[in-house]
Amino acid sequence: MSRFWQILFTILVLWFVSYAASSFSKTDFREKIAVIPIQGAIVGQSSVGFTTASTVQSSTIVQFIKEAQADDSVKGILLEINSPGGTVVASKEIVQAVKNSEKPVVAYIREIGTSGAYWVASASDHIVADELSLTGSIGVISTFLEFSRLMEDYGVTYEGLKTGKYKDVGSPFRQMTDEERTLLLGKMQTIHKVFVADVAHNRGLDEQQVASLANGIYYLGIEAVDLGLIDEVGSRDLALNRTKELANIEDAVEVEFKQTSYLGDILGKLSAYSFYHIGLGIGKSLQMISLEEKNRPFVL
Amino acid sequence: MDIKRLLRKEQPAPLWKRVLAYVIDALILALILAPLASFDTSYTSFSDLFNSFKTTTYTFQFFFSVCLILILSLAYWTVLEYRFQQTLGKYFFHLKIVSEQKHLRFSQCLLRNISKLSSLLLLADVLYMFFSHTSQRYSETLAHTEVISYV
Repeated sequence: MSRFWQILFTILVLWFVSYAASSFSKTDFREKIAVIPIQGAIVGQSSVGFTTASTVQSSTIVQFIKEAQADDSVKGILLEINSPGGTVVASKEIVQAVKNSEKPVVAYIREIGTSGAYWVASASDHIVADELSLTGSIGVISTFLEFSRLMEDYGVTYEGLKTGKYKDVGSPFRQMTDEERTLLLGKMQTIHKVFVADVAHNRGLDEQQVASLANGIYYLGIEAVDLGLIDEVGSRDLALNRTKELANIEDAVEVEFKQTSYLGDILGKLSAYSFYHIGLGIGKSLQMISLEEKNRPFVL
Repeated sequence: MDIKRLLRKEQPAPLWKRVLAYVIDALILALILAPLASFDTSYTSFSDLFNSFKTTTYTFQFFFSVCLILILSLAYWTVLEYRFQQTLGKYFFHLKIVSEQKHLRFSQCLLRNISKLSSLLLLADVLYMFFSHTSQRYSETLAHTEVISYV
């Protein structure tokens, strides 16, 4: 082997030593607090569309909680909630993940943490909310659009062929019957009961007490603390300190768990937003023309 | 001694060759140390870095990396010069290290490169060259070594 290759080989050995040692030196042994943002409506699955930017997928949050759980350097989890709630099952999935966490979880409600988002917060070990934040709003809502009169005006008829009596319940093309309304309300009551019972259990409150608060109204942070719905009012820093206290650590670095946006998603959102705002503009213009014609007052 | 060198077509290395050889070696060393270089990228401030020292494991980890960088830097110059009398940069410019004594020892190679661990020391060492009639660094004088150019 010539001298050149011998020198090169020695250099390669030195590089290999450096590379092997780097895996150790890059490992971050600092104690961490996982910060998991829950922002926007909680959904089971989001698709690229108008609402994509303001939704959060339950599976993503559950995955983040699991990752924080698996990472030994993560000593506690801080849920940064800014969400009006979401679908029942999606919210419940996150609730379950929070309950399964062996590490302390603190929820910080910044502006809004209502309905399903409050359910998630209730499952945590400690809730801190801004004094003017909106929280609570324990209740279930189900909305249906119904176009049957509009269709009548345009001479469009609806023909529903079904093998089950209630198969087209909630169809926007016909009015809901009283029986169907009662049936759906019954199901919502069941969900409501599960919701109330779980919140009561999570917060260590009497079920009757929570049921009396669960009328769908939201509470300000300062009201919620008196009602026992949250533990204390305060800032994000306070929530972070509480997480450290519960984790029994003095110093920790925050590690934010963020969903990675891919170029396709970003472009998808951009185009969706553009079309949404174009549509919104056209819609408002038409609405104004229509209302002006009818000479009625309106609020935009 | 000088006559022998002349017969072997050896002469003291010109400064420009030494500088260029050093630049090449510095680049190669940067490549070797590149895997270790991203150590502190996660810090946003110095206070964050120093706060992290409160963790014993992390303090060890930090000093481990620093020590490794120093050792590998020193090893690059010392091992190659001891083993082959030249580094890759010196190889390209036909330069090599010779001992003023009988054989080139490892301790001589170590001593002549020790100043490369600190840029301040190296600067002082290089400045000495301009005042020395032999155009040697101070550490080279101490180590009884010389850089020569050969054909």
